[in-house]
Amino acid sequence: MNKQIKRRTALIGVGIVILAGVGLGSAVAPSSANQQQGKSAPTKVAERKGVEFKTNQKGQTYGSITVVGQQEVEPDLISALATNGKLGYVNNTELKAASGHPSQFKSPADAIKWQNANGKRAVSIPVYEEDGVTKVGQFVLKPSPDEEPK
Amino acid sequence: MNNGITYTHAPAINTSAGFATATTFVAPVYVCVTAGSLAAQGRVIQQYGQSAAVLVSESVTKYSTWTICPGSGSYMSAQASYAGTGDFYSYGRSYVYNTAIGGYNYYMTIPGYVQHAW
Repeated sequence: MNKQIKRRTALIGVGIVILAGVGLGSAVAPSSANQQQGKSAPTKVAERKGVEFKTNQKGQTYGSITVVGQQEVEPDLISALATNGKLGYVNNTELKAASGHPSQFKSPADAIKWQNANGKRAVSIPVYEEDGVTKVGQFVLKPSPDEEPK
Repeated sequence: MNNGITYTHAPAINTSAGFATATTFVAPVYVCVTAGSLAAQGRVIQQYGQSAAVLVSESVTKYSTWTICPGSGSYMSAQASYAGTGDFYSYGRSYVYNTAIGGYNYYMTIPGYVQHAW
């Protein structure tokens, strides 16, 4: 009887150790990308509007644009393809500034003024690695074709 | 109803012969809107597998340059294109100036089906 109890206790103990090890491992395990790059930084996760994104060492979230309901949820660094074919991330703030995002303007007149000066030309912004610093290429935003009033 | 504005975004993406084009249309429903009050962006997203989605093309934001009134065929649009093969879809973006807040309201157009460009 005592032997059975001791055996069960031992098994439970082993189980706890394994689970704790798995939990600890998943908490500090580097991402596969980091492993490939030989980096040892742990992968941290941050939630934004119900979506979990990985974060880099600067605390910036990175990953794909995600849709929740009728809303886009964007990380700080958006997964993007550079013109040289390399995958990386564009900085969301830089993307908005380059694209003439409406959050920059207080009135339609301001927006039109910006468009007249900048809206007809392509603009490029850097594509980074997930650290948000190392540049791997360029992402180009192009103007839409002109159209006549309809 | 959205400050008198509604939007459409259909089809989300057109693909043909190694090319993907996303078009976002914006149109008022009840009231005329002055130049600069509407804005749109096209976005092409490439789908890799089940979860990875990569932004491959985005247009500069386009603002309306004339007064647009409700009516058949009255709209403005923005386009983003990408030359390549694979599975693509689009999140179009529409914006409407809201005088009450002194800024633009944002409306995401509903992502369309993934389409394949050969």
